[in-house]
Amino acid sequence: MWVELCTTSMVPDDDVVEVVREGHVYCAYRIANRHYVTDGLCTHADARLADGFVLDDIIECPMHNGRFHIPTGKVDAAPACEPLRTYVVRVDGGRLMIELPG
Amino acid sequence: MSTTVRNAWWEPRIERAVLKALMKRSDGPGLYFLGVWAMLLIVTGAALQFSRGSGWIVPAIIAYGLVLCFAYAPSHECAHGTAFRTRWLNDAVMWMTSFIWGESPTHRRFAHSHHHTHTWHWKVDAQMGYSNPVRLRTWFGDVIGLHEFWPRAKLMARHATGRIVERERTYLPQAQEAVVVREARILMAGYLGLIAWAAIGQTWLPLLYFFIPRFAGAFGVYSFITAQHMAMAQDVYDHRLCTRSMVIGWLGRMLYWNMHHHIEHHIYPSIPFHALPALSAAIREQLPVPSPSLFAAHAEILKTINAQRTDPTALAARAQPGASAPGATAN
Repeated sequence: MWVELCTTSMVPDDDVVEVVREGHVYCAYRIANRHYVTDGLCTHADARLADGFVLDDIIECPMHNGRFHIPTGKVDAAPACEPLRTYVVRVDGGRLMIELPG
Repeated sequence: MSTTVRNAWWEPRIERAVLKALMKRSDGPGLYFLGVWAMLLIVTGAALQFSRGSGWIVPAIIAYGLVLCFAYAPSHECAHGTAFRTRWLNDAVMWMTSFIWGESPTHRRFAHSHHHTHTWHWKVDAQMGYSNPVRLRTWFGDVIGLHEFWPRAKLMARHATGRIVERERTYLPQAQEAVVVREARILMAGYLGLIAWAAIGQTWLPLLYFFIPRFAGAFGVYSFITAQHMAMAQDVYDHRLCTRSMVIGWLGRMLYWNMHHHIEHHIYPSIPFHALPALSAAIREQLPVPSPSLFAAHAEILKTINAQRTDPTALAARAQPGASAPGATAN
């Protein structure tokens, strides 16, 4: 099921924006002109990743500096241990869509 | 939206663009600070060498030890992953300084993360060794490092023998336990290697340049560390009340890697040490006035310890709500 997360104009270049949809926190990224979406809370201690730092294709948690690879959600640095959930995205006009389980 | 640990803490007003700019990583400042530390080690190490056989060896070994024990600062910054932009450099310096400091890099990283999540929350914060009211002997033991030596040695020996205790499992994921054990064994092998070198090679060098100064000079860095939270409020979600910032001189800033901006560091641990002065300037009006010096911080601590003898709830003046500027409002 494809749902609209936000407009593409909301997503800054080479950075992240937090979007809350139906109580769930997401992070939307635009890295080298490609869009990505992950869960918005760190898997380590529930901090908000959008307050963190985007370093190339890595998002660093603002609280403990755990890092995740944005395209795959894989852990890049401790103290994060669990991967970050990523979403399949497509751009439909000016809308950033993500695929959620039906 | 779920309530997160992060936004339970008080945060200052600061533009997001400014924060992002301050979070930028770089190798240059870390190499500069590391270079100054290495130069001071060489100078004091040379003085120690030349003082051998004379009474000057005592002050020389203390001076060298004072510098050596500030391995704490790069070790701490590397634990955050913010010392250098280049990952391998961060990891290499973390290992080297963790060897001097005496804690496995992975244990340090997780225990310190826990300290940031639960700063100065009694029986929760993994790095909070005492609570209010503070005793005078606690202050003394902490300042000279006495409270750290034995527990640190026991921790290393326990990890090297493969034992992880329940309390550590509150911050150490199960998958990391084996890593901590392996790292402790590597570090322990290094220490035993130095002892073996001294015994078999019939040389004082490992004792003179590592073990003795690591103890003799510890009071320097511990006097800084003790000032971070002692006699401040506990069990509050406001770093302005549970953490202390100070004003210190150039040498202190170089050795301590700017951690005198300790409130600022706790509010934004993603901001690397070299950007803390700029962060401090940006949010200064929203923070308590820092202690004017290390000595002033300890004078405040001792005054509070004295007050706590009759009133166990007494806290340092800067730990009182309202110590910050009126413009600082809690979230």
